[in-house]
Amino acid sequence: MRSISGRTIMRVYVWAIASLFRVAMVALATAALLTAVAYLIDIAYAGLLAALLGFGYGAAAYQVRNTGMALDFPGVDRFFQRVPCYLSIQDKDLRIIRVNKLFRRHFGQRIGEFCYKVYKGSDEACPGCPVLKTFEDGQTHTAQESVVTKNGREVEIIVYTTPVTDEEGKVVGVMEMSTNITDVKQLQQEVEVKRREYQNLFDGVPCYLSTIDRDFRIIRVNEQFRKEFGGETGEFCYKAVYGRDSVCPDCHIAQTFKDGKIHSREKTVTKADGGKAHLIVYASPIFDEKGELTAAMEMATDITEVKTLQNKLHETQERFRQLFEGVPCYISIQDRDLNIIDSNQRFKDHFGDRPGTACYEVYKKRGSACPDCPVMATFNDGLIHTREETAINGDGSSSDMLVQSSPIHDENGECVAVMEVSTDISRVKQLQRELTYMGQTVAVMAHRIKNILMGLEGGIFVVNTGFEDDDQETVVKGWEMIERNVSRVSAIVKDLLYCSKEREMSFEMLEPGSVLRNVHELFRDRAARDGVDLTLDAAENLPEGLFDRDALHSLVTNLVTNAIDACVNDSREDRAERHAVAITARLDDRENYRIAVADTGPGIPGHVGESVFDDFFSTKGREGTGLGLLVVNKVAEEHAGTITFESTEGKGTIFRATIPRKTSPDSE
Amino acid sequence: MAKKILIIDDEEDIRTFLATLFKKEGYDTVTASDGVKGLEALKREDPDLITLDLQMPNNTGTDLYRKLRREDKYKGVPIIVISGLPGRHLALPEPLGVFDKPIDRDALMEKVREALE
Repeated sequence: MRSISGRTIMRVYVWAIASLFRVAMVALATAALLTAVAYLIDIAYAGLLAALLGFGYGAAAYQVRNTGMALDFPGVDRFFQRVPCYLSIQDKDLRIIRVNKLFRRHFGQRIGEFCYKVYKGSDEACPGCPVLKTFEDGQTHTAQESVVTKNGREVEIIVYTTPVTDEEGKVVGVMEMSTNITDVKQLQQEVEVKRREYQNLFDGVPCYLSTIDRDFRIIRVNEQFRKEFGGETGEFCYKAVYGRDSVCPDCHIAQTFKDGKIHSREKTVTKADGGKAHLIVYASPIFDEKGELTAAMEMATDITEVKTLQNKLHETQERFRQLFEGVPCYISIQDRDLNIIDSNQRFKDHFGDRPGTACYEVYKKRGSACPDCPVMATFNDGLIHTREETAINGDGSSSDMLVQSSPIHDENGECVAVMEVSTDISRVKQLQRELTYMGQTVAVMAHRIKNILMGLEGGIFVVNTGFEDDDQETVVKGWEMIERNVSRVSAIVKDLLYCSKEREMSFEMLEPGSVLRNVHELFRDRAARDGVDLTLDAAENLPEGLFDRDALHSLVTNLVTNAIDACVNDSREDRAERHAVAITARLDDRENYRIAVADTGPGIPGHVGESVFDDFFSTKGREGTGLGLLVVNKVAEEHAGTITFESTEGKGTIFRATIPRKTSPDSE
Repeated sequence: MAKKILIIDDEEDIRTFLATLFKKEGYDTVTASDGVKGLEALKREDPDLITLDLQMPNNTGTDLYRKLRREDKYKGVPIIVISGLPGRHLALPEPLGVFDKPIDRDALMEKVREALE
């Protein structure tokens, strides 16, 4: 049945007869109209008009009643129009007889057209059409369809069809309600993609993943986990992984359930092959849509290899550190500014622990880099450099060092630091010096002995000449030469023996002043004859101490004879008429004997002063054997003392022996 | 007039020995105990020959020798070096003779006679 044309009239007419009152009014009006027409025109025309109006009324009423156009109740119609989905009503031929606003917007006012044409542009009904099914069985059906709007846009819809029945329950039409699920579908697809991605990630990630519920039961596991631990859904995690019957002590998952935060641990587990694995495990919370913590995800990474390497690294580092600290030399590491980055314990004990300080400050007490610094040389060329240097120790003393500098490279091969390894060669240098001394000593001894031999030979010659000439004076002179030179030979032999290591010390308690007075007596007159005033200034009774008497006598004798010789050999033009040599002795408040011999000779030239203990020419004299200062030094050492000197060119020299007082062999 | 020999040596016994030796051979002698005094004696005494010990304190022996070999007025004076350290003289201009201690008396006297007669 086609819709009555004249939309507005139809709407009004339909509206009018939608209520009994209105029907009554219309009937009345119709009757009045018919009466007027009959009266005015002809009853036949009135009859025809009545038939037409009746027919139209019946059709409209039929349509209203049977097509559900009771929907045309204003409220219901408004609802029909405004519902946010596509609404259409089809007849048995699948023609659209009514649509709502949204439908019109997207598909157009397609009343009277086949629905499959409108939705699909198709010329025949869709296979499995839900409208047809509803017509067939009078039930609600649903389907998902893909349709095309009037703008050519393809949309996904979910369709619900519901029957429209007459008073006899016969299906006279089907309402099709379609909801645009294009966005939902898209979201669904995206969700599916994400789900698959997540699944791939979950299964493919190279660590053990599991999700655990609040009862510590496994919800799901990834492939890695399954392979290693099994782990069935519903199984307790502590059972699957650790073979335990209860929750692990200090469980990180329990912690996460407690505070909703991520927690981690390091754990050791037994793998499927029976081997041990070291894992680092993280538990992170999983919240539902209400924000409630419902599960936890546990992620465990096998760090066994890393741990092994870590342990090896630690061992290596420990070994290196032991080596670094234990090696018997001084090691420091400097940066390009020559600041100390690190040093071993031996270095710290010797020079102090001063990281960040320039090396030249720490063990050279300098304000700037050393000339020919081996560390700088290594920074410049990346090669190892070796030098002999003198370091200043923490206590102010000096040490001879053999220094080697070697580069430390970073991963790019750049020299970023230099290691300086210093070995104390003071003893070696000392031996070297002693050997040098010995060499020089031997040479000078040979020279002296040759002089002595010549003196002896000369003495013999002079004696013989005296005898030949019957010259007693000459004989006496010659004999004195012989005596003198024999004495000198004896002294040399004595000093040589003293300097040898085989000589045993013979300590006794004595008052050292007695030895000084003896030496003073021995040399006073001879010195006076040579224009030298020899004086002694020592306390009458210095406290007794342990001394080797002969050794102490040699020490003082050598110092005094050297002093006298220096004065006698003073060849300066402005030299004094008479010289003075003063012997002094006292005990200081630290219980050290301080014995000094000072002269007013020409002093020791600067270049000699540095090596006075091995410069025999400067100490050569009538009485000296040339071993004098060696003997002096040795005696002082044997008494645990030291020898120092000060000299001013042109004014004189003073030698000081500092010997700690000992009263027993074991006293410090 | 007897030839004069200047003996320069820091060892008194050696000076006495050489003086006795040379006197016995009929020479006059003058002695000095170091190079400085030796130069003074040289200027003062005008010797015909010098015996010089190179190994004296403060290198006065070697200093004097160099001076005597460099300065024209002294170049004519023959020098015999008497040294206790053989080889020390090798760095210097060649003296008339070099004797190591203890000296060979006969050889020394032969050299002295060669220089002075």
